[in-house]
Amino acid sequence: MAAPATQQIKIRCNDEKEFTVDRDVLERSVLIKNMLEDVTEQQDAPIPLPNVSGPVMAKVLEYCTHHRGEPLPSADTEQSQDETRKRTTDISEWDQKFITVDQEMLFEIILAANYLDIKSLLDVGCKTVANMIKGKTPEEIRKLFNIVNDFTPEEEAQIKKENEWAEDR
Amino acid sequence: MQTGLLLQLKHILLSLFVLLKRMLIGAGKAALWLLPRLLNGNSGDKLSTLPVEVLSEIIQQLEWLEVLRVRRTCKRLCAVSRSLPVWRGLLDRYRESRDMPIHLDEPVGYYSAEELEQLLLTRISASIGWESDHPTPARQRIIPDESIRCIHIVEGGRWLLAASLSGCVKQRTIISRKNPWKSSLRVHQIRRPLCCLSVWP
Repeated sequence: MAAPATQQIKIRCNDEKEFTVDRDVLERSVLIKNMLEDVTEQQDAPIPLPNVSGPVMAKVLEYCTHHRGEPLPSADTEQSQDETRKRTTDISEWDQKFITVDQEMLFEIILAANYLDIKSLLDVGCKTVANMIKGKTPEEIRKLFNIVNDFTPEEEAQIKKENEWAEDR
Repeated sequence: MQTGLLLQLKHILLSLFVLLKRMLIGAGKAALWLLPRLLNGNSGDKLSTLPVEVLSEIIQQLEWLEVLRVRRTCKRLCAVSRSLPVWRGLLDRYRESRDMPIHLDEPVGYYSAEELEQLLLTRISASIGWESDHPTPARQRIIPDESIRCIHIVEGGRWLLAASLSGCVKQRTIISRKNPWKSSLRVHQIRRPLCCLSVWP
């Protein structure tokens, strides 16, 4: 165990599942970090997280524990410029292994990361989905994600025509 | 009197019939819309139901061709593929990866997503043709003038000078003022200059 000063925080998911986690691990989530900063006195009641289920939270906590202590991205402009540059870089090996889950879980993790405001995890999720899309035709993309084609045949033909040059080169 | 009543009754029946028909068509349309969703359960489609800001994050990771492909899958993804952050990102990345500048008349913030897309795709399609080993012109305009002996593209790529047998020099605008890739054309980039021309004042 870490230094005795480490504060333990309880959280409760929407399926009543509860976790007791070190504060610095939980603070990877900007949402929870802000919540904790707003509360001055120690509270015993668990923090309710109505948008996340137990199994997904377990996965998110695995990520947060692995990345604990890394600097959080701050919101100023210099950082976000750096981020756009980072965009083209790949996912680290550990993250890649971590995110190798079924599609259902992948999207649950993305939604949780978005809700909990864990930028780096959201990034990993989005990059993974983007990698799944790469190199596929529109029909293959629909099939992969079960997307319902809601265009009328006329609309579809119109969009296809818009940039036909890009496909037949 | 009786015929008047009958006529009125006929009218009422007719309008009822029309109403019923409309309702049926409406219901049919709704069923057509609903059926594939129900059959698919739509539960499988997690991607296009993600919040817009997340979809935007995902699409921002794609290259321009993939953005155009995702656009063709469904309406929601189509809408996100036409949004400003997507094309700002693609333009920035294109500018970083190429040393050829894309000339903008205004600060980039003044442009709409549609304008940026148009700008970038025009540029990309031009450079694809330019770098191709077997370039095929996208547009061709044949100017029937047999008296022309030689032509010359003026540096900057905007003007084409044509000298004719009779000794007169004609000038044509080959690239419109609005065309964004004018700055990419340079005389030394013309692969096979057709001829040289000297112009005396």
